[in-house]
Amino acid sequence: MNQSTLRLTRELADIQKSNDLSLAVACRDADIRNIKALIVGPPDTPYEFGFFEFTMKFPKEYPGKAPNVNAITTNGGRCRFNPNIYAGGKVCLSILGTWRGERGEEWSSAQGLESILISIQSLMSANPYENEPGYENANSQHHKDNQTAYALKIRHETLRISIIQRLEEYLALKPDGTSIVRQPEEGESSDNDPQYVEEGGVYFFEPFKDLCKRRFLWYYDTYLASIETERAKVTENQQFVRMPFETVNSNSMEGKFSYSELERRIKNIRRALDVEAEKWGPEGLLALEREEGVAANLQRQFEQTKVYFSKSDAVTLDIDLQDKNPFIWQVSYIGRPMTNLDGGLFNFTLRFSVRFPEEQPRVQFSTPLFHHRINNDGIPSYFPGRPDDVRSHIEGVIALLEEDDPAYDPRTQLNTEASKLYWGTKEEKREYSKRFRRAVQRSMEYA
Amino acid sequence: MKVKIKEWHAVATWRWDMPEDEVCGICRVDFDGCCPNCKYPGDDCPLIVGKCHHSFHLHCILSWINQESAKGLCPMCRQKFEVAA
Repeated sequence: MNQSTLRLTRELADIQKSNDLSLAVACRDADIRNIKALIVGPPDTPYEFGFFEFTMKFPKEYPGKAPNVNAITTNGGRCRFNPNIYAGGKVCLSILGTWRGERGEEWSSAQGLESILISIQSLMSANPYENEPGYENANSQHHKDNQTAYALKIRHETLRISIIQRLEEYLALKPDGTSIVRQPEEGESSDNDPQYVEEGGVYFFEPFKDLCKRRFLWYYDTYLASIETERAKVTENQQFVRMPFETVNSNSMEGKFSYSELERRIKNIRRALDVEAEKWGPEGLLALEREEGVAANLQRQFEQTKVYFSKSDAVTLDIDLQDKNPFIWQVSYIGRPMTNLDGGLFNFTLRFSVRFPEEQPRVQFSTPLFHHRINNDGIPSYFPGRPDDVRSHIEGVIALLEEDDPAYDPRTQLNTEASKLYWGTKEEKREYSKRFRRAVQRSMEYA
Repeated sequence: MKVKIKEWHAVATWRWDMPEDEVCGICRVDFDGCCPNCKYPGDDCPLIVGKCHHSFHLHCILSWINQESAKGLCPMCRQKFEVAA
């Protein structure tokens, strides 16, 4: 190991440990100099909750020299998502040396993986038009119209390319909603590493598949809400406005608005994700029959977790397996007395894939709730302590419910309406509490 | 009771006079550890403090400063890197 791999190993581990909601990084074990990074579009920008992927190649001289960074969420080289992120993949950033920077903005060995990703993330702003050199203070009406038009088309393409196309590809869905039929190859086993996708004999490294699916489920309501809002601002089939800095047919963002199409496709994806998780049950039973390790692991974790919670004075909850299948856990949690959960019975399900823990469980409440961190489908934005430890998943969900004084983070707010009330005026907060309590009181009926 | 000490072993530990949890900005290793090219911390892998008050492993800052693109600037604050007296 030399200097650059030692530092990279450290940096990768730091980001992976930090559980940053906006950044993810991964590399193949054998090839630490080639890193894939995912940036989740920042809230309150046209890039909101989109999935933008980059490749980073680190030279041997790193950190003495900057890595080579390429955007790969470009619709196959056809979409320039930002004045500084070209359709061809080039990322113009002075610290990367790909842009003429002022003195003191160039690469230095104190820069690193995280600082680069944060710099790219900061390009994805609410008004990316002003990123274009010379346009920083462009305030004439013409420029103002352009700024609005630019944000409008970026929003559409963020939904269409970075979210919808990506998920359709992951789920082998065609844009019309039918699925691409793929014959399983001879001898293909179910324990293939899901991070590797085989296509024409070449393995593509897809480390963010499960992460993007889970985040899609988190943000599904906000995507739908965004489609509604944006639809009102444009007319169907309206052409995108070309920006002065875009070059025709090579480095631009061309197309037209079609929110009804996006809505249809996004709903298809949502359904396909449910179908996928439902298949995990029978797949799991098969794995159980074949005595595969993952089935034994989940069965053992179930027995231990059940005993642990039955002995615990801190929480009252019961866990059972659906039809004795260790891949489907059903949890009933009794609200803690003397809190706003008092008198409530909350049921949620954890569905596991045979590729657990690489594929993380899908957690969903069946009890209807009104909560800023649980969306209308009952999907919570919780954090497990350890991805491979199911007990810590359950504890994460309970912690979300019992959370007393949370810090505001728009990236965990899954229910737009509830969030607005929860973080609103005193009266709104009271309204939130009222609606939350009403759902808690009704929860027994759903048991 | 009187005790007569016949023999004794002294044991000492040392650390650099640096805040405990600080790392070298270049290699991101603790100052009490050594740069990635050395095996043992200590006099063989000393620290250096700049006039700008940024500190590094000597070996780390040398490999940076010796590079043309560094232009002799501190990687942290981009002021001219000069050794503090």
